[in-house]
Amino acid sequence: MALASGPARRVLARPWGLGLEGCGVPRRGAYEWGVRSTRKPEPPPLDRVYEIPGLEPITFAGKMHFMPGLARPVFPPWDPGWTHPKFRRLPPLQEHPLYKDEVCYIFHQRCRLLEGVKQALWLTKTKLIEGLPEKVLSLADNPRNHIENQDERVLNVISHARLWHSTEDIPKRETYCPVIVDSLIQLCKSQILKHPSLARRICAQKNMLSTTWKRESTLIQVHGSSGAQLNAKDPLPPIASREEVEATKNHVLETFSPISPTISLQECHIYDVNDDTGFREGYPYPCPHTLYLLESANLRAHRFQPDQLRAKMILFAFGNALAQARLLYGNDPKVLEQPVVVQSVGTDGRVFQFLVLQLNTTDLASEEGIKNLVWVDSDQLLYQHFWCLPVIKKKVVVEPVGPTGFQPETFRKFLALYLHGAV
Amino acid sequence: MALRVVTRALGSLSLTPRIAAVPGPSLLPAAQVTNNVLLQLPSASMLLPSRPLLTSVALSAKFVSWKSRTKYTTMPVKMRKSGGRNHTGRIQVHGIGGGHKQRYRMIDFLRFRPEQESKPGPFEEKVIVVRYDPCRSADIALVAGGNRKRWIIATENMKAGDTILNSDHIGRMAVAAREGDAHPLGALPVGTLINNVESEPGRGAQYIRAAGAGDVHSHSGPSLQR
Repeated sequence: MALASGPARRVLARPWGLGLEGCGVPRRGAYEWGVRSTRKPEPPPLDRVYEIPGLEPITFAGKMHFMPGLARPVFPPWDPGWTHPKFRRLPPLQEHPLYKDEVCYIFHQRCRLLEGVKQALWLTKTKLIEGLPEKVLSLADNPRNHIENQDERVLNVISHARLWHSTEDIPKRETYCPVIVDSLIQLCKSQILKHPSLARRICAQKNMLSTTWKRESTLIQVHGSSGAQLNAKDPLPPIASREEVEATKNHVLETFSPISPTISLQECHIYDVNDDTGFREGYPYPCPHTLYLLESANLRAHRFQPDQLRAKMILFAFGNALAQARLLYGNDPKVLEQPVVVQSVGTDGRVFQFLVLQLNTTDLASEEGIKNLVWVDSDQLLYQHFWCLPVIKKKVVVEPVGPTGFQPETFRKFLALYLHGAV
Repeated sequence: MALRVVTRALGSLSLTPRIAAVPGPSLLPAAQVTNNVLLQLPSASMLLPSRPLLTSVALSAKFVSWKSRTKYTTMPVKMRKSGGRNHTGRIQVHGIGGGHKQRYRMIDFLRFRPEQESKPGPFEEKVIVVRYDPCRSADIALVAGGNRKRWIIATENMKAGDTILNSDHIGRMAVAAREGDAHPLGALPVGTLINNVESEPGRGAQYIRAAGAGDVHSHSGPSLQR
């Protein structure tokens, strides 16, 4: 074997070439990605004298130039003592202090779950209820909670965000989406005069959340910042009664074999198991109230689909609720007597998704038992379309500048979610 | 390298022959200092005898294949069209070139490729979406199984939501073949329409891959594949 080289060596290595058994191995394997010419060339093989143990080969190292007949010397790798920042390589993953053998599936803000809401419900052991709870809807319909000239002010907010605040003819989604959400929150904040307890709230941005939990022997972690977050001094009251919570014991979560529930999550061996709400101890507004997730990418392909956005909202709301529950009641998996409630609003500037999540249990490893509850109101249009330039046909203005198909119901629900817990 | 040979050869040429260095005053008194005798300039007809020189060199083609990605991904990958040119840069096949720009979607032609080596049996996958592929006549389907997604060639009636089976098992009875499933040829009944055939197990499909292609499985009895 050592006498042959190159193709001759490969011929001798193949067992079936000599008529021996080897019919399980194909003559040539399936296509391997990467053309050989673009791969890095192998280093030249060592001389044969190095195979003889105990023999010191005579090399041309001392002569400082190649000499035919002498062996090629093997030099120790040179360590220059410093590396240029452009060419620094990371140390191998196993040497990282946080490296663990057990794999963890991390959900971050760019993860698009393949199965959408179904997968998010399985990962968080949650039961879905269509439509917002009656408590919140009654807040929306109660005329005492409405702002004066509410519809007119909301239309002004839409026109401001989509047209007036920028000097461009047609502002892009990256500019108008955060402006519209901030303006709507500012409009809701104007109710502080009517309900003084609204002042016990603060808006925070860019906080990093990190929670880990075990779901049927797989470790799952939610990690990342979720846009703007409303924090309050007092926690939200639980929405579902004890009977409804007990009734979730009979609910069976949907599975979607042959697809694994951890598909589209990032597999990672380097992670930190400790929970992190994003705020330090002693923060004056400890309870998470509402998360506002924005989908403000300009291109449609970069924005999340509504189903994927709802799944992301469920997971981030659950992450916040779990971190808060562990802070209050400890790390042991158990059923909570005081369920933790977190709300979430997701939008791309025109379509809104509302979500209220109630965390009933931190015992997520088992399949049976009490499940968490989530109320989802999906695809609420605030307005159908906004004309930045008037549509003129035959010198007649067919569509004037402004929003069309305005639905006031959507802002009433937005306001209700904001007022929930303070009214 | 050829360029270096040419420049070296040309550098050794000169119009006047080099004058040998004047030997300095030697220490031996008996040595006689001889003057150099300048040779006459050779006429144009009498050239210096020299080895044959190379005065031109061919330009080497800077061809690097675009297929440099080693890890599989479902995202489309940028590709460079060949225009019928081979690695030397000359046209080898005429009539190829132009057309809309395309991105390559990496297709997995080895259907029976278990996700982990630890679970070797037959497995199922679910079709997520069937879409057009600009690089081939057939449509492609994104299938997901376990923790991974991959592209495969879609059969005629494949649609989103179907479940397909990939198997390497040959039983005593022939399998009731469904469209979209992958079985060894020995497990299929004679007369089934087959496509994406590999010549030996583990090689990957190389035959009957184009749109509209489909061959009838003709021979029965012990087959060559496992």
